[in-house]
Amino acid sequence: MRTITILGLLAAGLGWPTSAVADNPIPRTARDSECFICHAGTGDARAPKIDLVAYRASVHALHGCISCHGDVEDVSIAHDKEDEDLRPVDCAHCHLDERVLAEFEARAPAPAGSERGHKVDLVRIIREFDQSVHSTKSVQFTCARCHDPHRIRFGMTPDESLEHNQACLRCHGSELEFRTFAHRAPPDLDAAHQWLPNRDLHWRSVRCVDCHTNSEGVVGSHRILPKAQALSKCESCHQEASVLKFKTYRYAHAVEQEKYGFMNAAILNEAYVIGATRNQTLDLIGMSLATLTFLGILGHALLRTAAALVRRKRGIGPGGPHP
Amino acid sequence: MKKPTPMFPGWLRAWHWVNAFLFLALVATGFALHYGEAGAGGYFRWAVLGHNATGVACTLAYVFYLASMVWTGHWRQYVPRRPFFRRAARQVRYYLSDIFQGGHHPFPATVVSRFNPLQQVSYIGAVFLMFPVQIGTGLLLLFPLSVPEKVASLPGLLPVAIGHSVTAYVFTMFLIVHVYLAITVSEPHTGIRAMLFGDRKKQGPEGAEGQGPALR
Repeated sequence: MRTITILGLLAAGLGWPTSAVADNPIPRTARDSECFICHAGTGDARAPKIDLVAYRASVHALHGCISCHGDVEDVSIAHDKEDEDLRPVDCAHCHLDERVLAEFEARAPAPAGSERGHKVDLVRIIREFDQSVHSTKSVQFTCARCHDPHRIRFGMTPDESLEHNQACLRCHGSELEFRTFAHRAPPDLDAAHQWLPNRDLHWRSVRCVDCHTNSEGVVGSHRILPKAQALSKCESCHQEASVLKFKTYRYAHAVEQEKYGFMNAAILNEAYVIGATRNQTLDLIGMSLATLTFLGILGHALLRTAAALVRRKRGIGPGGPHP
Repeated sequence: MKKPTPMFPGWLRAWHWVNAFLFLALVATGFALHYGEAGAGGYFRWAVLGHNATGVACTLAYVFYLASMVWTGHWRQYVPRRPFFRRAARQVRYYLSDIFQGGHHPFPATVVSRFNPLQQVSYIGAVFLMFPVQIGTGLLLLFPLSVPEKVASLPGLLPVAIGHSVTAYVFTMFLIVHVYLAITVSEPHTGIRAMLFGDRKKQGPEGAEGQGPALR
């Protein structure tokens, strides 16, 4: 079982503090500005940086830095040596604990329209994550590797929380980052996707996880598949009645709905998935029948013209629709 | 003198042409979406937007048509007349044989009975079956989250998408036949001119007096 799960279960069931905020000895917000000197400013070039504007707008800003980074013992400008090796932040600590979430919800209610509010289906996510290559091939992989907690907002779509595919590319597009987790060079993305027609177009409009997660089950699976199991057949999305195709269609609409609201999303959406209404056999029958109809009409018209000419020649008169 | 009743009342003509325009737009954008290619360029976005907007407009127009139909009693045009099958057979014979010999329409249109028996059947199918299916499935595709994700281990949207496509093909065929008949076969007082301008002058004598159709 992975770190994330153990910590999560401990937090949920074994009497760990139910509120990381309330039980932290250091006042919640008092020291944030001090943190920002190095972590958002120029105080120390080596300090990992956050985007302060995005953080201020995020749901987590309210809680303050040390709510999550609770094992920082010394928040003075120079950290203690013991603080250098901090524990990875455990999202499950709060997100698996209904009481903590209820407390957050009371303090900062989710705005209308954000259905999920503070809730994250972490039990399912952990179950999927444990089968994911991120879990089996790497250690110390946390939620925050992909979903930057300093940017998370209410009503954020999965696509936004992954910054489309940027979250994937942070590691898969950087040799340094990739080596940290996989201890080898990253695969060449260009070469690996060479087979994909209109590759750049796919990258712009399709998420990596659309093909690289299991296609069965819920939208937004966290079970990243080994490379060999990723979808590579065009018809998985573009032709047959695939679950993925309809899943993508539903997903695309869910995203637009969060963005525009229920009604506007319906009209303004750009979420049409090519091939979502397409079935080859049906198309063949439909087009054949339409063509036959047209040819039938054409034949009928030609026959009428010919018949009218014959009648005129024989002096029967043009004939006509009226008595 | 009493003003003659137009063959097609104003509201009907308005709906017909609005609907015709929307239909053409829907067929064009629908085919663009259905057979769309990812590399096709910027038109695709507009096809999606156009299809959604015209689809909703067409739905509203259809509701207007239904309401007007009830309000004006136009729905009676759809009630088949007896003996239906004999009349229908007569109409079939006209299209397949009489028309080539310069024969006349067996059931000339009048104000109270504009549809010949075959027209009536196809319009009943179009207005009361295909329209609801097309609109219903279209709305479900607009709100795909309202459809169950899976029905009997298949994607719930599958029958919806198939239904939308099948009806679209049938409508396309309907359109081809409808345009052909309207342009080349219809009687002068029910043709395109009449549908455009109402055609008060050229209507048949039965129409003005509101009698039933001539059964010959």
